Amino acid sequence: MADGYLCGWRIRSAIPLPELMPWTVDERPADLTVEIGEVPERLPGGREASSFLQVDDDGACLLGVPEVGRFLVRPSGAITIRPLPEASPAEIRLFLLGSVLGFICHQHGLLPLHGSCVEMDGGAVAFCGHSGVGKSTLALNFARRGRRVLSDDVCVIESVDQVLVRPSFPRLKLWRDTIEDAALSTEGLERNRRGQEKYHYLVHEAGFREPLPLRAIFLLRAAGPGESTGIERLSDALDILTALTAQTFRPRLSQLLGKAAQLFQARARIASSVPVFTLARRPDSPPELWLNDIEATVRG
Amino acid sequence: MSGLTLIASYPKSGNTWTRAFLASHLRGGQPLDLNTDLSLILNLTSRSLQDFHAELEHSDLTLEEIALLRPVTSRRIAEAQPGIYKTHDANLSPPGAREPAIPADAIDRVVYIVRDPRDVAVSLAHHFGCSPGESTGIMADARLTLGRSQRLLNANVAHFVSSWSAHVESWLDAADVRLLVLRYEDMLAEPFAVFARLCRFLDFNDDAATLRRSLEATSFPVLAGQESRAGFKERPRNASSAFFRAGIAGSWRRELAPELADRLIATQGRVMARLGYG
Repeated sequence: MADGYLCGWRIRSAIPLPELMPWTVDERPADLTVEIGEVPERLPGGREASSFLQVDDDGACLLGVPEVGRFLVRPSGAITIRPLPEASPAEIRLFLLGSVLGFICHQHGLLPLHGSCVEMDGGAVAFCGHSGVGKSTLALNFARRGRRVLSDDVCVIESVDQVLVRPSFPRLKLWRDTIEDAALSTEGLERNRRGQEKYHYLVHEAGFREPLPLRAIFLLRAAGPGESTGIERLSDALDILTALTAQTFRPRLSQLLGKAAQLFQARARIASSVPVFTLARRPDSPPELWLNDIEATVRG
Repeated sequence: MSGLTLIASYPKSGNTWTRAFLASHLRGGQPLDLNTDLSLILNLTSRSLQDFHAELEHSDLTLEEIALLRPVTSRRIAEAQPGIYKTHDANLSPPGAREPAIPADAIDRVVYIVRDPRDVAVSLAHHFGCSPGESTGIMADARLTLGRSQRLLNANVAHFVSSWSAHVESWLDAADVRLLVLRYEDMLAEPFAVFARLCRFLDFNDDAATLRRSLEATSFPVLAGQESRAGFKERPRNASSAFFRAGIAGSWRRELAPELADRLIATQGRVMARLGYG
């Protein structure tokens, strides 16, 4: 099996990861490895970091999803999975390429934002917000305009000299209604979880393998009755920091791993150098109404 | 106060009215904006609240996993963000779980609001956009879980409600919980006395002038008027009428077919009798 590209890391996996673009960057050894093997129920000396998650003093993370399996993520990049017999391959990859990717980011001091991200004019534009607010649907609509998809759930940000987005993979998690609204079919798509009308939609032609400078962040929210809709730029740095903290993926983990200061610096750098907007829209309004406005806003 | 203070009820039993009252009362009886100020008393099963504290997306979990996760998250919210929350959770272990979603050790105290199930059946039918026959059936469903749609995302995470009778008794007979039971009919008939009891139970100011202002600011005509002018974001999209629809007791006598009222007595009669719903 060819090695894959995941956020700039070369990943060698014992299970197929069809979401990933093949590794073509250089000849380095694998940064991350995925193996199937024994994983204990408890991490020796581990603390409860959050529900279903333990962390030990070395920075190893153990995630136990009751109906999927256990995932042991060592700071060295070695990942061991003990799947349950009834877990589907898509369910295993859902947590490997979601929660586990978030842990790897925190182990490396990278900032994972909970959001989708697309390429726009040589830069990256991220869409953050609560589940159900339309992040993946917007990414799908931009992909159908021919734009690259850098990430869906976890948008990985590196902040050294400049603020860069490291592309993950072009897979969108979409509800059946969204797929049908876009005149696409769920036929042949894998379900997010068994019995659930949410599917994994791969847009391989939209994949991308180079970090891109972060050009803008849109914080999506539903406008309540009587509230106005539209795009507004946040100007107060404290408001931006608060919003970015709320959009950080698995924030408590960064504290337990001693990486909170690094993440704070990354958020502060974004607040001072990247425009952050709120996009309030009616929950029932089609997201494609906003594509032109978003593009115009990014171009300034 | 430490831990979770719950305003618990079966759906359509007066919970939102109580939240509105408390939201106004907490600010000295000020007028209330339904669409923003109810956030003072959050819904405990709100998806964004649960996702945030669990550090997991509930939309990626099965019902059984959520049932195992909820008690852990309840304890975390009790520690990290204690306060007053609305809930429709039953105080019962959901299928596949070992304890209720809100375990007693996460609870500070509980206000349980109960309403004549014949009126609940009428109100629930309007709320869900279904027939009273269907709502009567829903109320007898011992396995009822709300917020579980597999087809689209619900604003709430899955919460186990069970049948009307099981829900009521799960809270009425809760051990190790400080409990105040309020009947919706008494809240309507004697608002001043009942809401004063509520305030004292919650260790809030029960000063008569503030109480009167809070009751006026959240009277049924005020809330219904605001909904008809500005809408109400908590009204389900498929509801067949306004959220604040009637605000009275006993409308089942006109709106519920006698055989459905009889069916409710047949299925829920024992618990109805405990609460004086003859």
